[in-house]
Amino acid sequence: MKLIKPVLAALVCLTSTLMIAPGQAGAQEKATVFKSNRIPAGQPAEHALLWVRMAKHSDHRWKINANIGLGILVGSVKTERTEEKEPLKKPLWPTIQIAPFDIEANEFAGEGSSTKAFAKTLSRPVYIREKRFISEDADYRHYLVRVRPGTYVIGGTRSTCFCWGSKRFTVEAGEAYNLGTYYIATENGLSYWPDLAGFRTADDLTDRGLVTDTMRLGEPLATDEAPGALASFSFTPVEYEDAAFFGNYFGRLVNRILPEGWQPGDAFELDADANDRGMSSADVTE
Amino acid sequence: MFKRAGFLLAIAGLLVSPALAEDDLGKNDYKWFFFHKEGVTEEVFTADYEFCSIYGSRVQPPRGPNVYTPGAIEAGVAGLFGGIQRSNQRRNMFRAVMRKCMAMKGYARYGLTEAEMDSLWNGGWDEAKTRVAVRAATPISTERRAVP
Repeated sequence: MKLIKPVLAALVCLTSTLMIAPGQAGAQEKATVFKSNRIPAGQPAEHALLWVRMAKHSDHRWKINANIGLGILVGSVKTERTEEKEPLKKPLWPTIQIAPFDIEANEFAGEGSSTKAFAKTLSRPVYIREKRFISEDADYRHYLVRVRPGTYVIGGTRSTCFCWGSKRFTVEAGEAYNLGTYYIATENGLSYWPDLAGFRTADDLTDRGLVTDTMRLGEPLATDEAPGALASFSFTPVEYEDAAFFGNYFGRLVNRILPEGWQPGDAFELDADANDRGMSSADVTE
Repeated sequence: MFKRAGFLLAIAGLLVSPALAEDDLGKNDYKWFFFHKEGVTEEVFTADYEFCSIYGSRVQPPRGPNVYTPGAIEAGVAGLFGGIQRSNQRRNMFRAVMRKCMAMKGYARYGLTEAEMDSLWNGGWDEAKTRVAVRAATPISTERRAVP
């Protein structure tokens, strides 16, 4: 019994040391979304740095009318969504997942026909969440991410997998990349960006909270200016390629990144994509 | 005793209320439906439907916060109602993915009555496959066309 306390104390110290100590394991370091006070002094030799600009998600919501009746006795209050918008106290910012990708298997690394061994050579999926940003302009937040070299795909958002059409990119160690601007919108007509606000899911699904997200990719340009905090890095525009029809391994709703020039009301045709890749509908299921 | 009964009622009320509210939503929006596309063949419909259901069948509702339960009975009740709610949510997510996917493939959605739905889907997918495919390929009036 006397030994329990010292052993526990030693375990706590060891765990804290492993968690807090700066990683010295080179390429074994995990992928990281940097906080503004933890920006690396220089370019890491064994990793790639990714600079992402995320556009504001929305700053309004649909006004809800609550009809309080007897249902309140059992915790049930009927609510009704109106077509009236009301401003939010704070604007919403999106979350995006960047996942390691196996080009040969056309799957998330380690899922489906992609092997676990291959997945271990890459970083685990990274979630770029709203709070870990480097700096903020009026309508954009800038994020800096460190990953191992390899191929990654824009996997989706918290609620939606972009399994039916996304973009992948390959990064090399010792390089810094500009991923461009991600305009992410929930298809509920509330996007901050007028061209995305036209995308609306059916009302019955919206009322159940079953609304997909969609995304427009603002291609990275060589002329893009990094925020002051990232001025010491030289960012190269990343080269995107199409990635379509990978599995829904995170169990989310499913959608795709908007192809260039698509407008609200345009019909998607998954068949057209499949045909572009030499597949018919029947082939897809085989 | 009354304290425990009250606690159980509260858990049941909190967990069941979203499910009750949801039934109200479905009333006027074709809870039951089928897909149809002009000129589609039965083979292509079956392939399209199975393609979409691969994605739909993988959905997992996000886990909500755990409900604090002071005893084993309360934990059992909370687990039971939580499970019912979760499986309900999973079914709804499946339908949402199917609707999105089939709409992207150019299919329109048409409402059915409960009796029509039962007779169309009687016997599970293997038995119903042919019936559903024939229905999808058959020309139809647009009277019951629903939003995708």
